[in-house]
Amino acid sequence: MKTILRLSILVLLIVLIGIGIVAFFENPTIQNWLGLEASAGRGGRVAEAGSGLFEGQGAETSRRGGGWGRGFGTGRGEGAGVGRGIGQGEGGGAGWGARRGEHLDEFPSSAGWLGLLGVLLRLVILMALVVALVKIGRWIGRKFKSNGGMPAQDASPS
Amino acid sequence: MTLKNFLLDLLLFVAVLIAFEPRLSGIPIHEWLSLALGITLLVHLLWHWDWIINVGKRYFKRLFHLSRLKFFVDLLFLIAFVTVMVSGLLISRSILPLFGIQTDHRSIWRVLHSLSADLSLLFLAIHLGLNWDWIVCTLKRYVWTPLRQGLSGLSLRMKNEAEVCPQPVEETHGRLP
Repeated sequence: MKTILRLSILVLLIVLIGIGIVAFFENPTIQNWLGLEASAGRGGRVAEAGSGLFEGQGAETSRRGGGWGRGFGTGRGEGAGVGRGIGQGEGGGAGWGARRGEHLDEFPSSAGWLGLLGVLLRLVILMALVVALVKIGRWIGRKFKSNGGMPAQDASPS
Repeated sequence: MTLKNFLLDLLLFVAVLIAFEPRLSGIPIHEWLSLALGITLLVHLLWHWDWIINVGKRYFKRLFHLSRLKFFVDLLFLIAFVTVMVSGLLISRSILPLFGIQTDHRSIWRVLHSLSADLSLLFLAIHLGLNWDWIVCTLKRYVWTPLRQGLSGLSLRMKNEAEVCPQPVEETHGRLP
């Protein structure tokens, strides 16, 4: 019973966070503010790299703003894609965007293994940094604590 | 409990690594694995319920403490993870279409999916870094020592679980330091 109650609370919390995220990012003001959706009024918008994963979506016409825009993208290398988009609208304007393209026609691909290695490397480097910072923090904490909150050189020998 | 925690965390870690690289698994496995990961994360949170409640209750009593930092990072990690899940579901190509639900393929959710995944990785690294002592201690107990002593060492050590790698005081209903 206790577990069910806890689980319900967790699920409710996660659902609420999820709804909050959707509501937040669906807000046109927020989208424009973050520059995520389109350069409204100027016709430019972020375009995706056309890769195996997002085929057919490399070129899009902007739906927002006063003008219209077209984006195009090309997948390069094994799964890595660089996308660029240009937009034209009433009064001109250009938008551009770049994102990683994922080529998923063949898997597990060598790019997949390399990607996994990259993820692991990033994790290890960041973890090492955090561990080092925690150890330094603890060392500083011990140094201050043992002297009544003062650094060793400032502590009076009472 | 420590062994169960360790095994679940190990499973979560491997699943996260595979889920983070869709080029390795392909989209259907990526999506279903991520969904399973979400459910497993619920179990992980349930098993650390006491810690969450105890630190949450006393959060503002003494701000500069490692438990508070862990709590804050974990909260950010949860938000980033939920963002990955929600945006992933919204651009789903396998799970939702299977149930006849049309998904949203606007760039915003794809950008968000990518951004929040990168953020999740960052928070995961911080989360692991902050719990590094426990990870090293548990790895020594359940992997390194049994490897050295042979498999019989594992059952021997499981009996004396409380002696090594103790749980954080917050999980044993103890007072916070």
